[in-house]
Amino acid sequence: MFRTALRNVLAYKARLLMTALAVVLGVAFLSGSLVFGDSLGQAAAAKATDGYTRIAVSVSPDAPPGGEARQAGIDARTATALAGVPGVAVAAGRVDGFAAVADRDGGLIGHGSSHQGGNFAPGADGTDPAYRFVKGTGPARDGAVALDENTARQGGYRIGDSVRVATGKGAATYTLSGMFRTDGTRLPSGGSLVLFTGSTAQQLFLAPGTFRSIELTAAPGTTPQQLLERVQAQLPKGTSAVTGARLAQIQRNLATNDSDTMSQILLGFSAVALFVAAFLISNTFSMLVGRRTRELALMRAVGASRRQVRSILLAESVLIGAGASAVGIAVGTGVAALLRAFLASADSPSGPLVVSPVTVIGSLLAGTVLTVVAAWLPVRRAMAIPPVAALGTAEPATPARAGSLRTGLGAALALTGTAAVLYGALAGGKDARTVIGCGAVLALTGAIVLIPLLSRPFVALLQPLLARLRPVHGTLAARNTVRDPRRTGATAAALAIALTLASGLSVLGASTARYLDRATTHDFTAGYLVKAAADGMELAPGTAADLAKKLPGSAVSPLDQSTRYRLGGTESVLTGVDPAAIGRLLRYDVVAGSLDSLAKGQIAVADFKAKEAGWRLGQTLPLQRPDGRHGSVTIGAVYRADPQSHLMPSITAPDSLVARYDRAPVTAAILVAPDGGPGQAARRSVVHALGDNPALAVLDREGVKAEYSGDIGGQLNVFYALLGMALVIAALGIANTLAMSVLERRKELGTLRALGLDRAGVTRMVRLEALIVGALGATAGTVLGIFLGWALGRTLQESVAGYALVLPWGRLALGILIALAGALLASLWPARRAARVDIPAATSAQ
Amino acid sequence: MTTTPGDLLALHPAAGIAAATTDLTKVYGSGETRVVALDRVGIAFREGEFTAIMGPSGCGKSTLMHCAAGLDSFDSGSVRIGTTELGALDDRQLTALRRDRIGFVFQAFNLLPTLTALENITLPMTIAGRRPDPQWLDHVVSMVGLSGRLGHRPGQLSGGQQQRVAVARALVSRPAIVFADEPTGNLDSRAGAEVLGFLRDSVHETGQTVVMVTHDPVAAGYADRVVFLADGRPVDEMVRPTPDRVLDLMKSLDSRSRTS
Repeated sequence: MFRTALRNVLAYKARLLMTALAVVLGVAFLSGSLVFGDSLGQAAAAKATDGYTRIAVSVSPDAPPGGEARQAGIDARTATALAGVPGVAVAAGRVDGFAAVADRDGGLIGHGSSHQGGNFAPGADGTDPAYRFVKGTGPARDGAVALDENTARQGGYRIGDSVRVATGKGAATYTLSGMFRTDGTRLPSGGSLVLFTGSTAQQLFLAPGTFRSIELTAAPGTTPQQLLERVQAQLPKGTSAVTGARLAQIQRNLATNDSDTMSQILLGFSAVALFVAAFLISNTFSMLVGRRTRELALMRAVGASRRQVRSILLAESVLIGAGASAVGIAVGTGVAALLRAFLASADSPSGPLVVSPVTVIGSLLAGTVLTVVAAWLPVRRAMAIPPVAALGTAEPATPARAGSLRTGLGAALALTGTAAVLYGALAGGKDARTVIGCGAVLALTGAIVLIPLLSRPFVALLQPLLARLRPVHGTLAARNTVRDPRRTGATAAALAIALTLASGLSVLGASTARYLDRATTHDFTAGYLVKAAADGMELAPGTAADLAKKLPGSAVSPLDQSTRYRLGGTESVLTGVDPAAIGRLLRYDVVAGSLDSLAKGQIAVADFKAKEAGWRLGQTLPLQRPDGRHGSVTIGAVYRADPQSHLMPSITAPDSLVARYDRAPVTAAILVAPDGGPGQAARRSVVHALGDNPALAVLDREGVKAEYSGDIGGQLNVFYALLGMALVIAALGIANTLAMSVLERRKELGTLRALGLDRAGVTRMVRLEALIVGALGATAGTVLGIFLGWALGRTLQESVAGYALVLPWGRLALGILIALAGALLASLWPARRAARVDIPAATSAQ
Repeated sequence: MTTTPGDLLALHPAAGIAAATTDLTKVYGSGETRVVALDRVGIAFREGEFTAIMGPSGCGKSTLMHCAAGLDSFDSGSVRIGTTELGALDDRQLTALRRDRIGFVFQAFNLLPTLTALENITLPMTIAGRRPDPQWLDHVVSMVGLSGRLGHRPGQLSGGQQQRVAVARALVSRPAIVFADEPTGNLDSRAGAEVLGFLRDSVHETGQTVVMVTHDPVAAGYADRVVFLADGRPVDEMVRPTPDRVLDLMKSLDSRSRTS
């Protein structure tokens, strides 16, 4: 039995090639994702922890209740005492904090949130074990710094160069003494690290004579655990000690979480790819069974039982599934390796490729089971072939019209799914997205079941047009596609799935982008926005006033966030601005009162806030702070604003009013409208007025948009690229179907050629068939995608005011065009085969 | 009655020749497996004549028809349709020639299953981008007796009806010559007789030129002339054949080749 199956697989190897290719691609996607994810996770974990292997015990101050851990330190006396603990080889005091390095043009080096400064702590031998210098030495005097190798290279710096470094205490120029390498614990990928002398670092980041932590290395013969016990006995109150191993464990967990998210996204797309591949497999098996009707019937006629026929066919599918899966795993591992090499910039930690047994077994199983399941229906159909078919006519039996069971099932699925999506979208609520998700799966499945039925009306719609444009091959191509609606449907369905996801994503993406655009730059009328270049940092108090002084004639206002007000009983945040300048910097759509009231010490309130709190114009509200300060303010203006806007304050107050209640408001940003409008020179003068500080970003309109909307476009592009994989599989399906149908129609093609259709005509006919199938899949997918995009958007609308549906016609059209181009590409080879048919042989075939 | 090979063309003047071959040679394979399918065949088909080509299996009669009809390439010699030399044409020109000047009837009908009977009949004209002459179309359709079935698909027609559609398809564009390859091979005798009758009528009533490859003496009996082929060359010819005479000649040819 097995040998028969094997022989069949080999005999039909050309035709099975494409099935195998579909399995290979799907499995490659799956195993590639797994290998990539595992490798990334392991590398990230290794990188995050490698610095801790050297440390036996780390001592640091406990976080005091209420946060603000950064102010705590360990004094020099404790440090000396720890160094004296028996078994301690080296006790290195560490200080760190924010430090940004400028390149030669004053721009910030590095990205992400890691712009770190630390101290060079040389031991008795003059070296610091945490840093390995590749050039020069560690900073020996205040005013000297060392840079990590990557940062120095990006800045184009050499030993002895002047480097501008900004910290929380402002920017200053240092001399570069050396460049070093270090472990990922101190320097995450893509970050920058500056080493100061111990005293400079203490002054910049903490207080003279204090350390953030003390790292202890054990002398030979002492275990970290022993050291921990001895140290703990001597620890002053408010400090605690942990082993390096424990720290490593904590870091590893953090690192693994990150790479898990990535793996899950990749796995999601693998599932799509496998799902699409299933259609191709199922289709190919149907066609093979169809072509082998006579052969299978003959086997039955000579005495093979139904079960034996089934076993042979299933054994074939197992063989193909397992074989192709094995190839797929190899390909996937290769792809993962390539992906690693491709992404092996400074951003991603490097490490060995991890091919775990779970990956291999999982992928093998997934590919094989998928193949067998996809082959199941065609195999069942094959079992229904009566032995007498062996004696019947040569013409393959015309496939049954889509049955009424199929219609009913498909319609039921599609209707239920659509209803669920509509309900989720319109009724909303907490579970709306789950309802829509389930509905989407049902609707998609329904659409897949119904596509064969849709193919007839769809082609009927197209045919008059095609027949007019191309009387012969237009008509023939149209009719050929509906000859076997089930086959056409399955082929188109694979394409439809890819297009559904792509168009749904592009609708959501475009709507979100439009919304973000409105939320960020709609209100922005200033030329520039100044903010901390690194996340989580704030601007030094007084920066705005200083800037205003240095830029006479320009409008400058801070956006001072002052929190924890009770305003007429409502918890509120006040944003302090310069009343004289703010009107030129933000677009206030005043609906009542006047913005001039700010100058009189009154506040302006956004309409949504006023409505929420029940305030009205002219009302005087009592004001209270947790520290007991109190007073009252009057509402002098109400303006319309989007609650999601990143810039527009909910309550605008004159900075003098905020200063009265809050000694240290946080300056989130400074808005600047330069004298004479924005431009290169204007920007330079702003940067210069800020003290050429690399820690401060000066953003123009586009910069603001990019800053607050994040990299939505980039993320979407990654998704599109992943969906491209599904498209490739779908295109393979089209190629497969066409190749098979060209083979089956050899006699017809020969006749057409004999009757005077030239090769170009035959090529065009096959190409048109591909395009019709492509158009069917693309149209169905796009319509469904827009519908789902709309539905999901509706649920966003509830939580995100100002979100509105945007149909990105360009993107949608592009998606359809790409699908059609894929279909066209898929038709190249079958069309060539069709055009080169041997006329005498084909026409005399029985 | 018996002539030497190569003389058939010389017997007839060039005027009134619908198609002719000169020294037509076709070889399959090479070395040990070399088979000469056509060996310097010279044969002419007169306008308005119904010619049958006969011979045992493997004698090269199908190959001769394929080469003469521009369906297959040949190694040396020449083929002319009217005054057009086929050897000088590229694939596109050959295709156009078949489309405009040749009609085909195949053994297996070769209708396109997705087209109706009428669409099948007019297919060569549609391919050429021409409209059939409605009167002539009516004439052809009524001649083959298909008037009531023009909207049917081939799958809804009997074998005889399908071959009648194929005959109509071959005649509708008034080609210079119609090639029929075993047109009755898949039909019962009554349906076969009908089809042969239509072919003969088209020759006698409208002056159509028809060349038919067959192995059936009864079918050959409908022709004006029978050319006999053996081992890739014409060996004999018979004018105004009857089935009995054809059968006799076949038998004698058979025994001759067996003794040689």
